[in-house]
Amino acid sequence: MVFFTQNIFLSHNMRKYILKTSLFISPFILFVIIGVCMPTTPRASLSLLMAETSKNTLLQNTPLPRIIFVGGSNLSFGLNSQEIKDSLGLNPINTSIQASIGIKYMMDNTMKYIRKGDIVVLVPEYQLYYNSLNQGSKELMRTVFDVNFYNIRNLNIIQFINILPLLPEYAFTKFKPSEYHPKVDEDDIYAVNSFNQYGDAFRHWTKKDQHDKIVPIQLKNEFNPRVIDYLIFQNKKLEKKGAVLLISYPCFQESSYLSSLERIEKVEKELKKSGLNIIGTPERYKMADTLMFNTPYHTNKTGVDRRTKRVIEDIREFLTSTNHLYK
Amino acid sequence: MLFNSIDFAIFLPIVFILYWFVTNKSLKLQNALLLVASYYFYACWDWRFLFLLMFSTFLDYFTGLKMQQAQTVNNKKFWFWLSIIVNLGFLGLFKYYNFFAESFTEFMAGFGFKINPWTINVILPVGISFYTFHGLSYVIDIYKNRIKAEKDFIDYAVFVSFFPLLVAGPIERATHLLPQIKKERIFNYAQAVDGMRQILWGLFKKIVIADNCAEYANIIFNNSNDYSGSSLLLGALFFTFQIYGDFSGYSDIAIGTARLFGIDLLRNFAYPYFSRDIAEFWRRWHISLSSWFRDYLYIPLGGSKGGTWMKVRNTFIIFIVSGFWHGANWTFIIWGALNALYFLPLLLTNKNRTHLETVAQGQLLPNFRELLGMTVTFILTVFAWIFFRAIDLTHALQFIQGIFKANLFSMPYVIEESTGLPIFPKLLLLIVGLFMTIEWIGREDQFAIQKFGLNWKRPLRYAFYYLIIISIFTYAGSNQQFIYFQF
Repeated sequence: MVFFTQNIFLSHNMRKYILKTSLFISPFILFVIIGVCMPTTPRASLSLLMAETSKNTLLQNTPLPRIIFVGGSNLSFGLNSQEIKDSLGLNPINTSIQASIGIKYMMDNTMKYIRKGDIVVLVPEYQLYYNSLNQGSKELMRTVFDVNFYNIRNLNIIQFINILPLLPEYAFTKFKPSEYHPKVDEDDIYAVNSFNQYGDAFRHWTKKDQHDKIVPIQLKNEFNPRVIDYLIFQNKKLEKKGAVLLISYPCFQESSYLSSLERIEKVEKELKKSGLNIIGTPERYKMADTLMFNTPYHTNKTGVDRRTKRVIEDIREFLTSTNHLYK
Repeated sequence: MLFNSIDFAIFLPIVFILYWFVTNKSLKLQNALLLVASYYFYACWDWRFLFLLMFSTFLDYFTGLKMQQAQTVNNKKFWFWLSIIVNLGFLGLFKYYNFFAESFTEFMAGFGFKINPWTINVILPVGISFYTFHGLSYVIDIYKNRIKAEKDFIDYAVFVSFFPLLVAGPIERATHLLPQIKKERIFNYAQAVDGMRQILWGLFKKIVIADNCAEYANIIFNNSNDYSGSSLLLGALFFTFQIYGDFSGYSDIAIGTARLFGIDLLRNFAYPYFSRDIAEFWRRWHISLSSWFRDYLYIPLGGSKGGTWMKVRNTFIIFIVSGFWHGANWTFIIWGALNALYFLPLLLTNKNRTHLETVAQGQLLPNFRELLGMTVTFILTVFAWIFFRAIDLTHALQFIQGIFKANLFSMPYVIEESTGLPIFPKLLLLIVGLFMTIEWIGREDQFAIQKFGLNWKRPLRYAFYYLIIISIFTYAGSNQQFIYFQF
């Protein structure tokens, strides 16, 4: 009898609790849903993430023979594709935007545009080997909710769960007045229009670098072997499509390189073991601090030229040694 | 699994529903569920150390029973010391071995001897200091005949591993928690709502206050040579609020979560930055640890009953051990010793129990004397935190030296890592100011917003809670690990 009474008491209290909690939470959820569903704000429309649309158009329309660069901002800020075109005779497409979008999204998005004969050069930032493949980030979330909602197809369920906590903050930005009156800076290096016809970020080429203000970074976390498994899997998919996957190393500020040497060597060792096509070495892409622009991965124009030259040499060496079609 | 993660936001409602809707008909089932959930929660950090937790739990359970069954004093002593030595042995091995090995090497090098000690390269099992202390208190209490050994292994294991307190406390006592675990629990609406409020306030403290302060504190402490005296002072202040927001925020979330399951945990913080002297500060900061050391170390050593020399000795022992508990680094030991130095004058003049009541009780503002006391205590605390945060002693001393440069009275600044430009973080200081104001208003309650606005009309009260939620999402600092997980 006591037990029965207790259960009745429990259900009444619990009903009240659940009802009141739901009532409290529902306006908040509604607010978030409305915010997420509102169109992209004018400020977000200027973001460099929006360049994905034009880069996808390049992937769709650029004729063969093509060389497609995939990676984070080490590539978008560190490559002169015109030089690549002139030296290798291939049509370059620089699809890279931001490392925090993650290797998985970068590759999954590119994969659908791959044609037979394409050469795909993947250059992930070092930390991507030390992060989860399914990591959620603001950039990844905005790539879906600001750039193109259909990009959600490139996300798996864990990536989606990982970006969920970022949605409330994102929704709130839709209600900020400043989002609707952005200051337009034609010379902004992080804007949708800071890319040239190949997809290279080029506005910083003519600007004074801030290499003396760059704080070196140190790679952290445990190496994630699933990244290598994923690359092997992507390589097989590309082979099936008749394309080639080459993996290279990002340009990296020397101070950061030295403080992360052990982890960089681990990446090199694991990639060598994987049997994938690797071009260059981390050492070749270590850049003196004076060649950096504003982060340990972004090079200034001199750095861009040096890096591009090495990329060309490494690709040429690969093409020669493998008797590739476009030698 | 961090309290401020999506994983926990999924985990908690699932356990809550199973607890109150599926296993509610049997206390045994409820406790079994809590144990499974707690082990899962712990395994999310590192499943390998789950075996260490299980072993530690079993050891204390077993030795507890053996002590109770012992026919002779010697037999009882044997089981007692077995538990103490194994527990402290694991703690020492994982947490302190390398520190002693390296310190010994340096010491010998000072005499010209070069030795290469064997060091172990293992990560510290999360929460080891906390669950070891749970176990120790249980075993000591049985040995001292304060409690009887627990016969039900699951009940005992829940006492050690209950997930809200498993990785960073509060450090519970068997006398307080075990009876709650053994008693049938009825869902209490008021307790659950109070728990939700405490979780909300804890999240605010952690995500808005601690994580934002951490960003600037890290920049300044990591580049202390590049900053003016005033900026270094600002860095020390940011760390002061970071560590408070971080640890008391964690404790609030833990206590609030436990209340959702009908369990009351020990209070861990009681507005320590409003203390009028250091003795009061230590009654209000990390209460569960301070009281643990008081009951299981200070009093057995003789407490303050002996002569002056014994008082001084015991005070230094308790504070240095407390510092060392935080980690194997000389900075923690100096931090502990410094607090002992602060505390001693009060103890020797019998003024260490002057301020037992909340400051300015029933008043809006403190009087001048109270304000002066709070200011001096706060300054002393900030100074001591510099040692706690510094990488090593050299860093701490350089940092302190840097504060007293000629530019101490210049405008403080922080160089933002993203832009490389110096800024004065006025928004964060404003938020910290608002936060401390709410803490002041709620200082007579268990947590600041426990009764804050309860007599307001519902829309206004809800608006206040929504404001906290919005600030959690809009002013969230970059996700930092809880500081006390490393201890």
